Amino acid sequence: MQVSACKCGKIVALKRELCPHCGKQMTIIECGNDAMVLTYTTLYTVPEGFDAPIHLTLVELEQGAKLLCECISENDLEIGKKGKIIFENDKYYFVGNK
Amino acid sequence: MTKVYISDVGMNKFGKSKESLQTLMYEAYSNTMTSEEPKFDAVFVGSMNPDEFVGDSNFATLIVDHFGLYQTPSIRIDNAPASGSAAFEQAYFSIASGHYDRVLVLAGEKMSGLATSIVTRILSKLIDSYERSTGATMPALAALVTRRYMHDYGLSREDLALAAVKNHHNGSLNPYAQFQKEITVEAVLKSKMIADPLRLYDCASIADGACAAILTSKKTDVRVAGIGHATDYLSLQYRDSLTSFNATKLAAKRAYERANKTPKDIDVAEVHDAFTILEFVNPEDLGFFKPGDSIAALVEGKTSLNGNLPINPSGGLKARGHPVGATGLAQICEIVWQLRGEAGKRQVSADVGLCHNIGGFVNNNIVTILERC
Repeated sequence: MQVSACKCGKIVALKRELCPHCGKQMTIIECGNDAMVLTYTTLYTVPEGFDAPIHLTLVELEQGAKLLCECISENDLEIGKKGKIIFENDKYYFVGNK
Repeated sequence: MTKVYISDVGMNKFGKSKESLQTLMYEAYSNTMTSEEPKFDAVFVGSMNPDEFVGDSNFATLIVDHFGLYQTPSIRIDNAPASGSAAFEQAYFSIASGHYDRVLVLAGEKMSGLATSIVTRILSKLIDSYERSTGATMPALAALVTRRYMHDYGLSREDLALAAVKNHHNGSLNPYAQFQKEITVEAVLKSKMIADPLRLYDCASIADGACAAILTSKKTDVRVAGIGHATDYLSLQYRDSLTSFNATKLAAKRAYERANKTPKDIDVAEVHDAFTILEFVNPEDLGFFKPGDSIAALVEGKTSLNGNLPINPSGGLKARGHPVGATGLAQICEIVWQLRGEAGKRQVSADVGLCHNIGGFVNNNIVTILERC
């Protein structure tokens, strides 16, 4: 898992060149894949090219950055649920700890 | 800085229309009932995406041509669903700077000509490309906010539905509203699930509609007291809070400072309730209530037509309808009618009114304060 950090203190998920807060060059840093669910939804009306339903979680990563990603199991949809981010088929997924 | 006044406003009934977007705009202009001749120093046209929704670009020129305003300067302003208030803001600047004396603002969108799935795809382009790649839509982002707000402040699903119930009641009194019938909490809770916990009746509709406003440096009975505008990160995942939006807070702070007002001075407000949750979050970000207190305010009727701070007397986006580019100017039309005592059955008592228009998913927001003088 990679996050982008700026000297100004802003840390955002994934790779990003310029800080969205102050415009300075960001540094890419490695981040563990532990995550916690901040909020979630199940989407029933999906855009063209997607299959319904989609479970979406917005999670907090170890460094404090947030990531929006799919959640594999409906059972993991719970605020405060801890788990891990996995990367498969070019997409990030949240999987809750057992 | 030159003071800026509103002479006339007009709109047409929002809903599904067979007319072209330019015809809807001309109808809105005709409904201003202005007695002055159609001569303007410039025309500002707010529309989010006529290129995709109706297949026309160069829309500002199309409009002056359609209206017969030969050689009048004209510009189209796209600011996502805040295009209507952005066009109004630019028109305001043009008079405040002393450059122009009398300008026409038009705002509109025609969305119903396309299938819902295509409209959803066009609207989803407002979202950051990574977030969009997860399948996220505008209702999905609103649902994420809703779930967190329910968790943090104890908002119940039934109380969330009350926002739609209140706004449909107001819409039932507004001849310009798309939906002019009352709904019940049960009807909201039985409507189709879109993005859990948000259902169809929690979401503003697809609609066609247009509005017009004439701004002038000559004194009238309604003054533009101040406008504030602010942006936030495009991505929801970059935001500091999930239950409060900095773009609204900062736009409001700037508008209050320029108008020399505080939230306590506001008698009536139109806020951007594209989703029912925003009827709770927006009034808090505008400084009307403390975080979480919007729930009691709505339940106790403080924001109803007969409450001490009526919110969305027009029916809001929920019942008036949400032709995206038109909405910001529709809010301004409503507040002008409220200040002038021309709001019919939904009339409230007001000397100062506020409009809050959101662009994108709450990341390009404009707050406009109008005052009777």
